[in-house]
Amino acid sequence: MQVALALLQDPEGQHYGYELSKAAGVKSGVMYPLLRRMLDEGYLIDGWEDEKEISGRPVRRYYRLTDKGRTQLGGIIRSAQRDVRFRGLNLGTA
Amino acid sequence: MMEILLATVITLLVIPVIVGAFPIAAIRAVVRLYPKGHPRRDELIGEVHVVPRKERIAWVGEQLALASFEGIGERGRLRRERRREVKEAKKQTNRRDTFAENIQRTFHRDDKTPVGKDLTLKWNDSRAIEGSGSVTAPAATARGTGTTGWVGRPHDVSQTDSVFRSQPDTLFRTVRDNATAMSEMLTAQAEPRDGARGYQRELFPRRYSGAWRRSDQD
Repeated sequence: MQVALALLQDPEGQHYGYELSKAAGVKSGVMYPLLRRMLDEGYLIDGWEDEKEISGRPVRRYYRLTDKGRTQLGGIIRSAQRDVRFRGLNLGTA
Repeated sequence: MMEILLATVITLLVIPVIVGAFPIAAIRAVVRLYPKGHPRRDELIGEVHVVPRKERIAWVGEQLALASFEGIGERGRLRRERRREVKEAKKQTNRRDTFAENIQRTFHRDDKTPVGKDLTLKWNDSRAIEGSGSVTAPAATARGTGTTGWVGRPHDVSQTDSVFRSQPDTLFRTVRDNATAMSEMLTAQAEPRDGARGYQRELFPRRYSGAWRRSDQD
């Protein structure tokens, strides 16, 4: 849920594993397998930074939401907004 | 007094190494748990540089735990897959199919037109087998369901290891005996390499080459 929220904060943007784990408050040991599952499900696409645009560090792998991902994760958040178990979370107006 | 000073200097030298270089060196070691070519290898190396220095050691520890499961699991999956492929290939070779179909499988050319009566093999520039030539002799289409009489010694291709593993010379002789032109071409163009005794090693898939030697009976 937290990861879905973090992704949907910038639905068009590029997301990185470490940044997402920070934004979602999830340990990276949970985040990376989750990202992989989302990739397998077709919720995300991945890519690599352009080497020309960075300097002094290796390129990073980014993830971007697909249309399917936006729809599915949006649906998950909408159903969570009605779920009492997630009442404590700030689920926004996704 | 000197000892305290020395200990302080050593500590001051060691701390930057632990905080600075160690996590990057460690993550490079950790990613090796993933199989070669796995995207997580480059991903983690790229990410470690954006993790704040004070968090890096803990972050690397997390990645070690993750890689121990994910990386080793992935390696196991690949190994199982490879083993299954080899098993499947063996099964295929052992099936009672035509001699030509077996040649087809041996050369991993299932995507091409089945060899059958139009057996197509030749050396290309990179010394791999490619299509050419034609074998119309009965040998090429003989059913491998019994002992065949057209080889130097009787051979039952339905036996466990099949002709391609147990008696490669038989295969070659068969090809040669029934397609003289192709045999001459192979003999002329294939030269011994890396201590191999002849074209025989090149004719068969590399993974079997260690087990196959050209027979001295020729």
